[in-house]
Amino acid sequence: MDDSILLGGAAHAFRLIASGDARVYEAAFTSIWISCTATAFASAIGLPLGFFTAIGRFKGRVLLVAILNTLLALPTVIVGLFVYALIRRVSLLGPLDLLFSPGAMIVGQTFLAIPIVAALCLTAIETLDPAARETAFTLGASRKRLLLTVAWEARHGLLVAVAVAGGRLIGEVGVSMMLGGNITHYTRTLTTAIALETSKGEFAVAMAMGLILLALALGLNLLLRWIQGMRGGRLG
Amino acid sequence: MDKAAPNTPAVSVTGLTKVYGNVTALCIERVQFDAGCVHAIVGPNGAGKTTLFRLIAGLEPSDQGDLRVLGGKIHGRSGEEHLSLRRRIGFAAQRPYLFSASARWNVEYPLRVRGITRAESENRARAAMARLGVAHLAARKTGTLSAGERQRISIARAIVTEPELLLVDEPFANLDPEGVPILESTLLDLVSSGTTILVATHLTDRAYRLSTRILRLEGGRPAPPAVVNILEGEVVSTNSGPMLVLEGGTRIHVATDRIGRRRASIFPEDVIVSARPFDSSARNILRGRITALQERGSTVFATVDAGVSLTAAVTPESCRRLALTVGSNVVLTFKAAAVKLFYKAGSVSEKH
Repeated sequence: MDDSILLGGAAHAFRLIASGDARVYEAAFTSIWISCTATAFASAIGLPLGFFTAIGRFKGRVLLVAILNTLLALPTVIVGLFVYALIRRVSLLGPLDLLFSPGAMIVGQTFLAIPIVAALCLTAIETLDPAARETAFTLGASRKRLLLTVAWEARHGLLVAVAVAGGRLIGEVGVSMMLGGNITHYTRTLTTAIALETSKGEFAVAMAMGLILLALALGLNLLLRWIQGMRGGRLG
Repeated sequence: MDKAAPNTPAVSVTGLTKVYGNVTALCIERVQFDAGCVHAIVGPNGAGKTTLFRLIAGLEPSDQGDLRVLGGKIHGRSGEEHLSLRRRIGFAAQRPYLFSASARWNVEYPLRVRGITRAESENRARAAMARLGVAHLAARKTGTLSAGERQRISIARAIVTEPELLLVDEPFANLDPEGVPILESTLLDLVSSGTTILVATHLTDRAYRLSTRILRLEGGRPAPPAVVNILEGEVVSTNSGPMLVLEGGTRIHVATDRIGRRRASIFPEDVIVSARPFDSSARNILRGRITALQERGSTVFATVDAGVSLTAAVTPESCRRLALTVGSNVVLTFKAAAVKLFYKAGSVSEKH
């Protein structure tokens, strides 16, 4: 890519963003709602999974922790392949007709994010000062209340787990492409659109979308910094 | 039904051991803590004070032995029974953990988990914080509090439920100087309303200010009390200076300008034993008879009945030279300044 394309593209990209280009904003909107939905589902499953793995004392716990940590680096195309196999027309979930729909993307992204949420939640609970639990115990908390208090004390860590998972989903491309199919007005996200526009030579559009993606990532990171700052007691 | 009656011990320990790895943290043959009193557990760091508290609070199981708290077994119970027993105990840890919320939220916590209404919890939490002089910190986030403030909030949180048994682990370690008398008078107030209090501290003089019931732990085992001559009496001013008048009528010169009831102690090392009086600047010269001689390490402790029982430390050589035996008549000499006076905690002049 030569410099003039890059610079001219950047200028054009800002014009597209400023003028509210439909292609750009539609892809951004699709990205956000699909990733947010998947993050919510993944949190609903991953937070309890990580929490009870952290506090539980059951057989196979060590193995489960190892599996969760391994799945942190799960390649998106593996998830894509796995979910594709599950939902293609002739398979188990075929009758739901999910393939190449936002639903399929949400399922795939949920699987991708569960290990992230669970593993980070596990770490947050495990690294919490054991005195938190003991204090709640000596203050007369029932078992259920004890667990709620532990979760409350680890809340910053749990928020970080959710935010990191969201960050990973907004920027992933493998699952979106394989399960969503990059269909205009339907399953086209920022990442799949950037791949397509770049291959078409539409650098300015690709770059405009890239800038929005970067802004979203930056926003999430600022949110993370803020959460971690609260933990230190400097903010909040 | 297992409410501790006045004369039953609040805590009784029989053959209790706790082992971490290959270190015996606690090994107590038999100890009882009577209900309705302050008990001080003294000993250096690592003596087993915290371990004992953790066992009593039900935080850890013992390895062996029988531990009865408020008439029930704190270990080996489950569910509701266990919960209702531990809700009768208050525990303020040495390094308090405060939940990351406001100070008031922390003090309300034990009430809220007992299902007490928000309004009542708020009132009681405010009262408990006021008692410890930290009402003004109610809205502060706990992350912004100093160590002394955290200690006081933690104690307010432990007493807000009006527990029957209160465990306070090293409360003086982080406490700011102005917090000490506040805490002392709070503890004595609680005792007079029937609470049993166990205070762990490595500061012997603090322990004696609060109580004469002292359990000394060393290496996890009860040890003989540190040989300190504990006296109690009234400081009066006389023509020959201030004197401490003891219960038996014995008068001892002391160095102070405040009169009133005091506890006092004299280090055995500060008491000179001689066969006859000798000329010196020391103002206290008491005649008496040796009632006991005990050799411990390289020191002989001679207990002398001189109207009041006092113990003096002498070297084995001096002991031989003076031919000290039980029944010997001796003279005890010590300076007025050797009598360490404690304002008995909670005495009227000190109440805040």
